[in-house]
Amino acid sequence: MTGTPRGAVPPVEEQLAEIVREAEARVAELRRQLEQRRLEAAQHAEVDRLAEHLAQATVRWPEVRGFFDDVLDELRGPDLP
Amino acid sequence: MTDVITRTSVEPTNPEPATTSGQTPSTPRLVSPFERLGLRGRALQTANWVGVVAGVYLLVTAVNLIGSGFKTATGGSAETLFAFASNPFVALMVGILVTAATQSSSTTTSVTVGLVAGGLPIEIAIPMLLGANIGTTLTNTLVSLGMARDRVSFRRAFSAATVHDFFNLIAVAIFLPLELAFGLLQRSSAWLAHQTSGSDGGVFASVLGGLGDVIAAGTKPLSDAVKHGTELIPGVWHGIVMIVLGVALILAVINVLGKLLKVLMVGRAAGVLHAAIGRGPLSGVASGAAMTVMVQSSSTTTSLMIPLAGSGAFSLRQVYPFTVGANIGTTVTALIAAFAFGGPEAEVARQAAYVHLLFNVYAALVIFCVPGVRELPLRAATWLGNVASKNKAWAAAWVLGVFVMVPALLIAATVIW
Repeated sequence: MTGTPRGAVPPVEEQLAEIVREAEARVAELRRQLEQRRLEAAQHAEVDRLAEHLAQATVRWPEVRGFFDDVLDELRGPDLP
Repeated sequence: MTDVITRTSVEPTNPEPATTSGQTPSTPRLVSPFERLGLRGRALQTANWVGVVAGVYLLVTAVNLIGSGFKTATGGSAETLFAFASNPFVALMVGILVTAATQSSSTTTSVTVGLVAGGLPIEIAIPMLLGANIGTTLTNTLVSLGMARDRVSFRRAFSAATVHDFFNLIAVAIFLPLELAFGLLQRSSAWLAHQTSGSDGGVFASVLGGLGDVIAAGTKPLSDAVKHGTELIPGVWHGIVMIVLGVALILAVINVLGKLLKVLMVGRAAGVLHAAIGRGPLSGVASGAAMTVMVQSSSTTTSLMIPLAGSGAFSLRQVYPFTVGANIGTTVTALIAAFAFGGPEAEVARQAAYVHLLFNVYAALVIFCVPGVRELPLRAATWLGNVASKNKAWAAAWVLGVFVMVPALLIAATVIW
């Protein structure tokens, strides 16, 4: 504390605060990287199932017809008793 | 992601039979047409590759047949047969409707290449090729409708599908007026075709010309055989029958080629996608283009991304460059089709194929590479996905309006008035 002006933040506390800030920034960066790695792992897992996805990448007409049936039902509104 | 994939995996519409690999009937898998004939292992692999080579041969032959049939039908006055499409907007709508009906831009572009070689003016063909780009986006939009039961998945899936729609609509909105005003695509494709054809185009043109002549000579006997076999049909109908046979052959070949290439290329395609994960948008464009070249169908690659986006595994921003790449990759089919012709026909056929290639490259450069413009398809698709997930009528109106009613009404109005 020698030479520290009265009321000023002590150098040790300042250094500790700086270390905390850096640690927090590092943790935030690590969290971001962890999240990114998890997301990429999920994407790689999906690409591993590419054959299955490719087999399904076609128009399914019963589903399309079902969709338009739903739209027509919504447009007609709820049936009143 | 997994909820949607699991649901679709558990409840497939057309479950495949149990396989020797131990997969359950509920897991869809890729099946080669030759597998249904009982082939397995190395014999199946060989048959698949022979099938691909035969498919490309038949594709080129069919395009040649269309060119020849168009000449026979029009007797050198092609403009009269396509007079209704001399209005570029009608030609655009024809491209949209035909591609939406066949669910294959490769079919439309290959047929157009054949028609141009047979005498169709390139001014009519260019809007048709642009329309093919819009029409092909219908397929992944229809695929996304299958996810409408789950609101969040549908929002993501419909946005992922319509980002392709918006990109191609914006591309046409930019380049069709430029084409009408300055002939941008016509001039640049003519220049490129001239550089890669004829005897005065240098070594590259000589190599391509020689290759084209060899391929055209190889496919001509079958094309001529069909022509002679249908000679009893009188007059214009002879040419029309040849065109119909050619189009039917292209549709069948593209369908079978797609199935074979999916089986043969799935491993390599997975490698390409693995390599693109975690990298920037340019890798996304490259992987979309590479995968589309491998399976010869942008509809397949863009439809593939729908469940992946719907589940949340891939974001809209990650799907977007992939679809831009798919646009570029799908132009390879027309370039292959152009090899159906030799001599002077080869240059115009290549010009038509280059129109499709250049349009998609220009669109990628202008829309995707300009930061402000790049966001437009994303914003529009996000908005449409949001409103459509709250009210499905928006999605229905979009599908019917863009791909059916507007093109049909515009064509009808032109024919009537």
